[in-house]
Amino acid sequence: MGKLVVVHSFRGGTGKSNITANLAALLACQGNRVGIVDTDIQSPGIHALFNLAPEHFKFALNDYLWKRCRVEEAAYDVSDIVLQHQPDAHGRLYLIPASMRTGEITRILQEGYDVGLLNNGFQQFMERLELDYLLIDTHPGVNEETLLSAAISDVLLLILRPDRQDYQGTAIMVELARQLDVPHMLMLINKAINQKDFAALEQRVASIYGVEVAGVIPLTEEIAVLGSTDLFCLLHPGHAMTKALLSVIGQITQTHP
Amino acid sequence: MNSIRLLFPLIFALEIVLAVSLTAAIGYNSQMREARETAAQFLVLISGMIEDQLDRHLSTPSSLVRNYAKEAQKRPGQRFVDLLKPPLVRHMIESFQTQVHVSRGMNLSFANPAGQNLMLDRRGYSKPVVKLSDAGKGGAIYWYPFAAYGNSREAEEVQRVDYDPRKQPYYIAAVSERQAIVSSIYFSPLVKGEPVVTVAEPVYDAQGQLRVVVSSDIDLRLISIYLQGLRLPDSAVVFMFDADGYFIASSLRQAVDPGGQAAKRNLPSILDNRNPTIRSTAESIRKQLGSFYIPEPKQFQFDGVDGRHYAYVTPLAGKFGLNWKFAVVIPETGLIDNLLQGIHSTVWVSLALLVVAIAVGLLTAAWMINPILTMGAVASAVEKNEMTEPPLPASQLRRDTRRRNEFGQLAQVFLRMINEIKARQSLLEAQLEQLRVEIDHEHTHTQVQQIASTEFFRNLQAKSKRLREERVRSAHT
Repeated sequence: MGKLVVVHSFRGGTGKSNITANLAALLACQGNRVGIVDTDIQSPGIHALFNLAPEHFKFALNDYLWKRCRVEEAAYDVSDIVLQHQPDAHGRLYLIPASMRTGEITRILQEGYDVGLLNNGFQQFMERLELDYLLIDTHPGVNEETLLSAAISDVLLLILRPDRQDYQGTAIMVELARQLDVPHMLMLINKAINQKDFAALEQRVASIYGVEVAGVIPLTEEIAVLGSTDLFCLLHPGHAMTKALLSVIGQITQTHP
Repeated sequence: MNSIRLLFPLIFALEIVLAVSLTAAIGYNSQMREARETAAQFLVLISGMIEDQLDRHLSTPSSLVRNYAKEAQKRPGQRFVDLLKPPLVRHMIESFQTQVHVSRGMNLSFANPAGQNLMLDRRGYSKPVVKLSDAGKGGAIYWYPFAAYGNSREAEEVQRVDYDPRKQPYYIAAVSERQAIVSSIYFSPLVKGEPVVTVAEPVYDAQGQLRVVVSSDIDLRLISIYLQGLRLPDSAVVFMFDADGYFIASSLRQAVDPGGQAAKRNLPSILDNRNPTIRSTAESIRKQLGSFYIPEPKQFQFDGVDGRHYAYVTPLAGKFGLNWKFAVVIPETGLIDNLLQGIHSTVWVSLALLVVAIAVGLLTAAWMINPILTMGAVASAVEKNEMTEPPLPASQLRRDTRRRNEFGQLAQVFLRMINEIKARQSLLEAQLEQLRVEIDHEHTHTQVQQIASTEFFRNLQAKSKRLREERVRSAHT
């Protein structure tokens, strides 16, 4: 059975969507069938990394939540992007985007949605497309949807930047996840400065939170420039970011649901 | 510590003062040299001019005497036994008037062995006169104006003297030499004791008997008048003297004192002249040249009582056997006005230059020093880790970076260095911050409590495990 990996960060701007997309692509490269759900309905964006233009998708997660379609109807095969870089890859990559239509976003903000339906959706998506991994790109902060996603996750990947506000917010999320008995929590530190300190930083964060730190991604100009337009890790297999994400994948694959 | 703030301007100022003083000194020297050269040229010029004039004064009497003597020799029948005979006197007046209209200084005398004397004289009087005397009749000299002679028996003036031409130095010399001579200087009663030199020529008959002595005076007073009329620079003196140092004439208004006796030895020596310039020149001539016998022109300088003088002495009219010399003396004070004017101009221009040069020098010094001081201040601030302005003079440094020279490059390097230090510092701070993993547990607890106490969370908590298990189960089925 597939693993449900929820990618979350307490604050925005941590590079969550980017990391989710790259993790998914790397998993697909390893021959896995991978799904991504963009649950950041209020500020969607992950589709851009797969060159999926909003006018090309008929249904989105919003349509499923309002029961306009079945969940698999909102899923799009974006395996091409992986095949471009690795033509012999056997993995597949599916994406359920969130709607970019402003009306849809406003409606979600005003009316909310049935969170239980979201859980079913995840399950159906995994089952019907026989996914090995389902990656959930969440909205930052703590709300019903993120708590639900965390609650049902096999792996909760917390992304944080090494600054005071992120440390504080992440502590809240870690505690809530513990209370929800999340089976496996991982931390990934992004935008860290001074690579010489990474080991110390990793150790310090792990000991404070009591959570394993799967990797540290440095703050570099090239990621800042290329990261939001392409799948960086496919282009730069030897880069520190790719290595960190492969380390995360190593941790995820060892997890037994 | 010797700050460059002081050292640089000081060096600049010193260099400038040195340069300007040097220029001023060179300027002063060249002006001095120029003034001296001018003085020398001036002396030669004046001398040449005077020499020409005096030559005329001296040569005219000589040629006049020559002409009349020749004329008398051509006419052996002309008798000079009674020089005072009116027809002869009138004839002579007419002849003199027609022939001698050149100069008012001309005079002509005829003296016969009987001691009679006839003088036709145009010198310095309101009108030409004929002067008659007869030694045999007491030797008084009767003056008649040319126009009045013969109309009136009364003389205009009578000099009650015992004048005998035969006792005059020129007569004695001419008769003893039996040829044309130039007398030595003597004080002639015919011109009321003025010093003269007489050119004379005896005329003899076929038997060798003396008929008459024709003579003409060179009047030293007239030479003095001529010299006094020269336009000379202030304090410049021209004077004449003979080979024994006796004073003849000068451009100064001083009479030649006969000293009571009409003899050469009573002529005053230039060494005893009342004028200090003439006196000191005379002393200097004697000292520098050994005697007053000056065979060729000589130029020299000497220090008199009233300062330095430039002098030029030259023999004059040696061809007449006169052995006269004349000297032109210009005291430096006469030249000093021009010189001082030049020096003053040089000094003012030098001062102005000095001010301008110092101003430019100080500006240049400031231009050079300021960036160095700024960089010094920057380095000092960086050393103390004071990276904000002030004390870090960042705006001055940025201003210096706009210079298109090595200072500008240096300022740019400094600015980059400061930015690099700042960047490193903030990086270091960020690193420290990222390692400072601090969590406000109380705050976390409160927040977690708030969320955990909601119904939604409690429900979720209750069913989360079930949801996962369901998923696992459904996956297996």
